[in-house]
Amino acid sequence: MPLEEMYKRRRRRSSNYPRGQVIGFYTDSRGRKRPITRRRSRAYLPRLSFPTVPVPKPSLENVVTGVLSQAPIARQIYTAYVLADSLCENWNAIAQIYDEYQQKGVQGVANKIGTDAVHNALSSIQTDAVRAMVCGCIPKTYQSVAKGLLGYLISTITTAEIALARQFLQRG
Amino acid sequence: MSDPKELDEFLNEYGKEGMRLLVLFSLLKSKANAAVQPLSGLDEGRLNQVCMARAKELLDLGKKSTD
Repeated sequence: MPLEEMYKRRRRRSSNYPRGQVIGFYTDSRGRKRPITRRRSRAYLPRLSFPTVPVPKPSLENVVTGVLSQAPIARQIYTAYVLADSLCENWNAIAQIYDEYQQKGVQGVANKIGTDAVHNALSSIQTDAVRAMVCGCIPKTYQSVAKGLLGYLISTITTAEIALARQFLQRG
Repeated sequence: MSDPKELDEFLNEYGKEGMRLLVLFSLLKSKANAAVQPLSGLDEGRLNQVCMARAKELLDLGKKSTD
């Protein structure tokens, strides 16, 4: 029986028979005739495809809703109201401070609200000068929150944001 | 402050209500910024819109409760 036919038969019986296509034969060190098969390509291996589930980014609305559900937000909103009212009441004085600051620098502000307050506030003169004006109106427990809020308001509010606020107020 | 004159005009026009809206907006934006910062691709304009809308809601809510 030819060797190839023998291997074909063996293939039907045993699972040890090489699965690939037999392209020839060789003699091993013990003198046995062995089949030469094509290397199985890697494509033979099953490719696992994992389903990709897109993780949605938290939307900005959800972020702001999350912010509003935080525990100390009610106190901070109250502080925001008190701060806004204090700023309004003292606005003329605050505007004067800014004029003095622009014209005469720190010395001008010192003349307006007192040297000690200015020397304590040299790092962030604008924020602390305004805080010195309005802190009398804000309860002590809320002053640290008010300071952070005032700093943010003063240092980051932009013309575009003021214009946006105007739009929202005009809508009614 | 970016432009005190702009703020001055705004205050003359809208008074206490305008200032309350701005302060509430600043509060919400600072909080949202802190929450969003670890994520990339922050849309500043959209964040401003969302925060201002929520600040206006809070302001209206405050007005209703005092009426």
